[in-house]
Amino acid sequence: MSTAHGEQVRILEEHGQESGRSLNWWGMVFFIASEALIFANLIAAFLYLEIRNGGVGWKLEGPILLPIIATAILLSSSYFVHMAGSGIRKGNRRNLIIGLIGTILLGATFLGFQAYEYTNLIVNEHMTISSSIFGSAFFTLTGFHGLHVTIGAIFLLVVLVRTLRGHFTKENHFAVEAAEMYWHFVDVVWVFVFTLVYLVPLLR
Amino acid sequence: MATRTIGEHTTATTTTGVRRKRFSESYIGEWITTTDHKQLGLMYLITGFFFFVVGGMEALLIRTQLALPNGKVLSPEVYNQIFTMHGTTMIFLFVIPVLSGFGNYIVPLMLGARDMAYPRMNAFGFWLLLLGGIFMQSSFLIGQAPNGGWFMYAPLSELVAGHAYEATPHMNADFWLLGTTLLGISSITGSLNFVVTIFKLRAPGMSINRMPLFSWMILVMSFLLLFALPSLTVASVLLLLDRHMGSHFYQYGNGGDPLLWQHLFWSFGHPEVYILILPAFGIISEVLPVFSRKPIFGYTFIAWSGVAIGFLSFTVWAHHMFAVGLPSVAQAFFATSTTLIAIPTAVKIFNWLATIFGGKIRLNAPMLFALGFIAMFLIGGLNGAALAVVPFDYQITDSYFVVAHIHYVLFGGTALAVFAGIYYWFPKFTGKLMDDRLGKWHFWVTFIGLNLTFFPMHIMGILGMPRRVYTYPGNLGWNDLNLMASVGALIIGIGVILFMLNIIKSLKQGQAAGDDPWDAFTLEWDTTSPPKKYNFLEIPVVRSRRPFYDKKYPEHADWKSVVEH
Amino acid sequence: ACGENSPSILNTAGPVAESESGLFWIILWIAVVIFILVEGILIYSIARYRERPGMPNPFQRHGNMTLELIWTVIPTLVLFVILFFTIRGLLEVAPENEPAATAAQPRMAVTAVGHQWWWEFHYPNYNVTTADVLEVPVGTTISVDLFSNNVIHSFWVPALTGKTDLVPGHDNKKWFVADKEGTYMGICAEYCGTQHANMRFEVKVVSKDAFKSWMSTQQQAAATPNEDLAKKGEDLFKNQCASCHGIVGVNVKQYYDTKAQCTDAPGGKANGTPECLIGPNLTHFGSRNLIAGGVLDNNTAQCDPNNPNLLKDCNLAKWLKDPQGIKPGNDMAIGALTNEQIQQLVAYLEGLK
Ligand code: HEA
Ligand code: HEA
Ligand code: HEC
Ligand code: CUA
Ligand SMILES: [Cu+2]
Repeated sequence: MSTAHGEQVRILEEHGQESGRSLNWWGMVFFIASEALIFANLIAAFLYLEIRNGGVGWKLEGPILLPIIATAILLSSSYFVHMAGSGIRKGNRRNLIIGLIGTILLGATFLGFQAYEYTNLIVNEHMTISSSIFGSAFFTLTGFHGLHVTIGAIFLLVVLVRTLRGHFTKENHFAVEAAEMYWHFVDVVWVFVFTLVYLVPLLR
Repeated sequence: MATRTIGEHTTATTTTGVRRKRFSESYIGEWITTTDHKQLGLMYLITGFFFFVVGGMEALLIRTQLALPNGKVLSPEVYNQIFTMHGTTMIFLFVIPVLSGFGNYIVPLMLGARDMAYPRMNAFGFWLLLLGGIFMQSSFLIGQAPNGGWFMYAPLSELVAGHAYEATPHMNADFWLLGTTLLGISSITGSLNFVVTIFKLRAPGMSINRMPLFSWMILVMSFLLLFALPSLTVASVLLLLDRHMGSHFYQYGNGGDPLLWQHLFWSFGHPEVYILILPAFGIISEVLPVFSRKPIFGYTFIAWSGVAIGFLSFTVWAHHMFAVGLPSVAQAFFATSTTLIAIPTAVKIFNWLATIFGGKIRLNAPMLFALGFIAMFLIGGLNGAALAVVPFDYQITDSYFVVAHIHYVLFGGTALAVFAGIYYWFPKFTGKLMDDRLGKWHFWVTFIGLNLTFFPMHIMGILGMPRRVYTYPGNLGWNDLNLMASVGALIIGIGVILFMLNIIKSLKQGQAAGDDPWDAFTLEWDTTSPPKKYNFLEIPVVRSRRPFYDKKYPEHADWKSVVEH
Repeated sequence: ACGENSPSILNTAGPVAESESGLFWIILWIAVVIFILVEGILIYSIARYRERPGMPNPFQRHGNMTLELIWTVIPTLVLFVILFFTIRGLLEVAPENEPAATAAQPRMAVTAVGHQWWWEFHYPNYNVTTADVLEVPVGTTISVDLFSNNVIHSFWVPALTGKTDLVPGHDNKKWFVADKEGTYMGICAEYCGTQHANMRFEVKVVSKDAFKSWMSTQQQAAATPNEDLAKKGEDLFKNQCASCHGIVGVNVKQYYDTKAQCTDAPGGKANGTPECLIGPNLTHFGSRNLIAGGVLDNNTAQCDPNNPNLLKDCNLAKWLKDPQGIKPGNDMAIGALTNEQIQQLVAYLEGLK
């Protein structure tokens, strides 16, 4: 965007409004806010249906260990993506690359866990999106999150490719920042989803 | 549109002198590839108006069918598609595009900016809108237009409703669900753009508190879209999953719940109706002061009441669900929040009155429409307040009384404001004035037609006529009123034709407008008409809420005399 | 002139509707006052301050705090007065405030079932089911269970009570009392598909005695025809109609309670079983006034089977000749009947008093 609309930026400088966050940063923040509301709505729908069906406490079959490991993996990826971001902010390309690769690998592992969990549920527990309302709600909510992880990982992959081609500099690396923001968002959402789907039923 | 030098890709210029014209430089290519907010704004406006005519034709079909009892013009299946598409078209494809069109064109100019924050995303949003619109209307070609009403209640919009009754087995609902999702994405991009533009690209000195009210209202509208659309997206995705993946979200037999749809839909749908009116409030707040030769009265109150409406609009959704059997406590809560939302609206109305009071009023076409807006929106607001009286709503919900409410706020409100905006800014868009006499004719014909069409609907509702009926028996005393409404619709149609004639005539032989035909107050008039590609030669510096007024009348400048509150 | 026969919400015949519609006048007067005030100021300003030659520029006033306070506070007060009436009225008619049964005002339970596109009414205490007519005694609290196993419908009798929706999966309830005998129109008020426009019913309010005798007829099985024509009609019914319609004593043993049995929830009976036939129960069809959600009146007098103009005069015959032409899209999809067959069916069905 910055090359095609170089003029815009120049004007901004004239205004002396370059201070603070960039335009794109703000755009990303509001975009993520809107995305967050998608999850808020899905979570509300999940809770609504759960309560309509006799109160909170839908429980998955099987041990909770795997999801906990998956969660740990996903959350630790936030560290790597932060490493990537702060790396490039300091001009450290090595950290950027390591961070990106680390995040993508951890994200992929998380998706692997999710795929395993789905297969197990479908094949062994016969729980599908159509088997019950819990199935509908569970697969939709976690599936939506999985979709976001996938999108985030693809985003990071693109950033990685561009990094390897030498696109980013200390000053100019908004794509990295955006990917980082998106990834953090995906992680934070998981905390809510995980709490709702896996932890809350334990309380009962 | 000759000057397109700034902002091009530098890599694209060749070193050798002669080269072929690129596609983006041809006339059509320029429109298709443009990222200029003004051109996109016009494209939004034209598209929106095109869909207004489409939705209007659908309305005329409705009124033809209902003109006489036992009408046989449309079959029930077709009627149901028509009224669904009428509401959907008017809301998603007329009002939203037209309002974003104004926003796109005017907001950067008002703020003294060179363009929107994300010009290419802006173009993307427009093309997505056009795609979504064409996609939805194309459903008529295969005879499967959406037919579930503009709020697509489940389980009627499911493939199969409970107990193996067929509901919407064909693609009708899919067109609606996918179409609105596309339009939703388009609106999200548009809103992001507005929010960031308004927050970040204002001219030096234009603090949020000095920004024109139209920009304020576009800002609030954008936030509403950003935060309300996710509910619609989720509702639609869940329904699509129900329809095609076998999930059960809205199917009671498997633990789903039809009311989940209603909660999700209306938590979008109610903010939505304020999305449809806030920018209209903004237009009115621009037009009234200029044509009364006074500053807007109570700027701060108008601005912040808009924000209050925005917040409150997320708390009232279940007033569309008073009849679904919610617990009394919930109904009392939603009645209260709905009542509260009338207060900021009242504040606006009174401030507008105070703006014209004691002014020097010029009754040109834009002002007529703006005054008409106040007069008509008031009726829509008052009958809205009646709908919020829950026990009374039990009687009139889903009757023609509601149809009357919708149209007084949306036609008497938004559409009149849109016309005011077009008469007001047309000189800026084109450099030519619109014919004022024809404009006045347009106003009065529309005004009469609209009251003749929609006022009787209050009475029909009270006489027990339900909405969304493709026909009615002749012995229930509804005949005369329906006939009146149908005649009224024709008269509105004549008004619309007058408007189109006016546009064509003014484009061809309109009087040259000059840069500032109305002696206006805000920055969009402080540049050429139409503005050059980069809007302002010199970015203006702002010292008050009426920067252009200050510039023209330096001895009376606002910043000298006003302590801003 | 207009509205004499209308199901107007202002011609009330019972306390619930009175309480609901009564608010109309309060709101109307408040609205009229505000309307006159606002439009008055508007018109006055336009007339008084319209630009005239030589008019000086107006004073550039930007606002006034006192005025802002005034026009925030006064509407707030007015709105809270309205809100008071709202909440009071809301509680007055709420299902939890249904009056308890007394000797003077007994209570009767009814289940209203919404079908696409006709109404079924079940009287659980009497085990009787009717279609398109809800007959109730005067001065009695009618406690209605609202049930739908398909899409959402809405129960509305403007003269007696406002709307409550029949939402699948929700046990909505409402109540009303009729003070005056008479026949009142009921209307389905939630868009429910193709024939939403023709989903009316009738509430027939009769004296308590008349209700008793009506009920005892309804409780009996259908009369066995003795004329030849009607007998043939009955056979025809058994062959061609019994898959969708029930007649007690002919193809079903008794009335069934749809609400209790025909749900999608686990354990519910499937569509098409005797308990869950998709067409109206016709046991006492001859005594009803409406056909198929009120698209036609059941003009029994014109339905003498020997009438040579039967197909022109008798609405039932018209219905049987072409149900899809009369109510396009409805669920009674049958093969064409010969005029003879129609004659036989009319003779049979109209005889089922
Ligand atoms: C532009 C769109 C718009 C706007 C601005 C409004 C504004 C309001 N609406 Fe409306 N509404 C719709 C569009 C809109 N509505 C649509 C499209 C539907 C139908 C959806 C469908 O079913 O298809 C609907 C339906 C609808 C319902 C549901 C009806 C039903 O289905 O049963 C209700 C119920 O409370 C309601 C209430 C209100 C209220 C209280 C306001 C208030 O904001 C109005 C406030 C304004 C005033 C009150 C006037 C000015 C005030 C004064 C001069 C002060 C003094 C006034 C008093 C003291 C009363 N609306
Ligand atoms: C902005 C919103 C908007 C606007 C502007 C309108 C405009 C009109 N509406 Fe609309 N309406 C809705 C929003 C709107 N409506 C909504 C949301 C619903 C609810 C839908 C639902 O229940 O799901 C509804 C429902 C609705 C109904 C109820 C249908 C039903 O319940 O069965 C009716 C009935 O009369 C109606 C009539 C009209 C009329 C006569 C106009 C007129 O004002 C139209 C004026 C326009 C014209 C007359 C077209 C002019 C064009 C020409 C004359 C073309 C000439 C052509 C050439 C030269 C090529 N509308
Ligand atoms: C496929 C199912 C089906 C069959 C077969 C069928 N009907 Fe119907 N019938 C219906 C449905 C459904 C309705 C209600 C239609 C509506 O109101 O939308 C109905 C309505 C009626 C009514 C009006 C009842 C009322 O109370 O309003 C009559 C009378 C009737 N049918 C008679 C017959 C006769 C006689 C036959 C046989 C020749 C027959 N039907 C066969 C489904 C059927
Ligand atoms: Cu049933 Cu409308
Ligand atoms: Cu609303």
